[in-house]
Amino acid sequence: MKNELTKSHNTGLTKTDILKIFFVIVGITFGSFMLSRTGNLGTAFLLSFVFSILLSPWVSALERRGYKRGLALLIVFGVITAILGSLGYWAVSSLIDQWDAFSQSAPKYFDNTLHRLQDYEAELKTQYSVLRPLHTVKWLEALKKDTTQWFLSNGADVLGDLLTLLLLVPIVTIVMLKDGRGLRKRFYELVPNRFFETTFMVSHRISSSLGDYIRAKIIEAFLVGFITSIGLAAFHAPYALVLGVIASITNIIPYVGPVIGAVPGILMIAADPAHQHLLWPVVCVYLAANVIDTIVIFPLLVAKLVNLHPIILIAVVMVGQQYYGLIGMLISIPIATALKVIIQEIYYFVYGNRSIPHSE
Amino acid sequence: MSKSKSILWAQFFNPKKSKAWNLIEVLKENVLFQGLTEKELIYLSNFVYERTFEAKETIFKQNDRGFGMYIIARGLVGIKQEAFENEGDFILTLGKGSFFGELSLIDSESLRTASAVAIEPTTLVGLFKPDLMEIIERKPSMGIKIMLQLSQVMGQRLVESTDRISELENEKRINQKS
Repeated sequence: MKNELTKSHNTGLTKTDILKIFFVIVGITFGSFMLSRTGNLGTAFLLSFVFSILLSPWVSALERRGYKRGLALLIVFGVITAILGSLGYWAVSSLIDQWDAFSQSAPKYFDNTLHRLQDYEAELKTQYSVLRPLHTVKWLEALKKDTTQWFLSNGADVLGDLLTLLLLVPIVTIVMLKDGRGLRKRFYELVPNRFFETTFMVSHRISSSLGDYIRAKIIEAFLVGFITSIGLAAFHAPYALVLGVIASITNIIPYVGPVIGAVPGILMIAADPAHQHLLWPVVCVYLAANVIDTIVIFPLLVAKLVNLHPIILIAVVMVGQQYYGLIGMLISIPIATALKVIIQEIYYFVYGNRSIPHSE
Repeated sequence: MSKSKSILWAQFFNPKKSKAWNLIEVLKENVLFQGLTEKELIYLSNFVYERTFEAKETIFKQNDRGFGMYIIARGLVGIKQEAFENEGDFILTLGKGSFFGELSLIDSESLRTASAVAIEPTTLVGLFKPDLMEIIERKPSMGIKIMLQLSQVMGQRLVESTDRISELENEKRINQKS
């Protein structure tokens, strides 16, 4: 009788191996498809992955002190809830107050800017007749109307999505931290013996590179936000905390993030007659934060981990932007880091024992 | 159900019921984990991987990069080296309870010094360097126990190798005199 487990002469794989590979490919394709189709679920998984990477060292630290992993998770989540609920109350309420004032003032600043632009546009059109077909102010007014309309019609959906994320992310994060190892083990069981060690090491190196990168970017973002808030507060600029938070969030986007983060603060100061004298100090604060980030924080924290040539970094960010906009820019470097690991492995597979440089 | 399907089913969907051996017992009997308590052995079992090999299936090849060690839970493993290929199939045959590849737990990106092949249907329990590092990070006292045992095994093998070299040197001298 022909043995079903006999190895194929061409590939060295058994029928079981081929079945396993088939299941792995189908599983990964189906999972990716589902995550990309169900926006909320995909976002929840992405956020949970980031949170699990950020919280993992804290859970491990408690385990080192003798706590069981489940209890360590409970403690970490309990502390986070307590911080958000009580100790962070002042910061959050102050942030909300500033955000309320900012969101109320923003339309006023927008209208002021529009009036100024309208005067300037009329003046330019009388001087240069070629500009008459242009209706910049009308276009901006339409944009404002459309944006307001979008918020009115989609506000409930956005709120619903946020609440779903608020519920899903902690649950998925806990599952990832508690059972992530078991799930990974199940996945490895589907990998044929021939590729097991390589798959194990590649996935380990990818996850550890991504983890290091995400941790470094979060710390970098926090430091940039902190410097911006302190700098703005030192000059008594309004909404220092909100603008610091915006700068820290946008700073996660490579290259253009710092510029996007500076726009709200600079525009607001420029449009507000009461604070116009602060325009240059505010520009200097943003510049200083960016210079400190570029010269000190980024090289010390992030560049060493990524270990890719600056030209390659710019290229991957541009490619990311081309296909997926801001999100593409955000995820381009982690994807490039993962691809680098895979390419290194292929290089090793092709060229055998010749040593290759590893970032580890 | 065909054999390949049943193996896949057993490995992925119902791994515990298909086992004719106990993972904790396998770990307990191994010299590297002798200092561990029952709780620590259960904890360790979450960090190891069970791999099933068919007869004549290669486990790893000489000069492959090694990332960890294997303990034989059942079956037989043959070890062979390129340098001795003319002198027969295997330079060493290992049975249940034996382990091999432990050097890879210490030496990062080390190359396998010999090839390992399953002589008969074999199940191995693998422990890999990143997981050992994680154990050391999460449970330092347990990690130290494993590392201490590992260094003792290494030391013992070094003594055995030194003795063997001395024996060969003596044989060489005797041959030269005669």
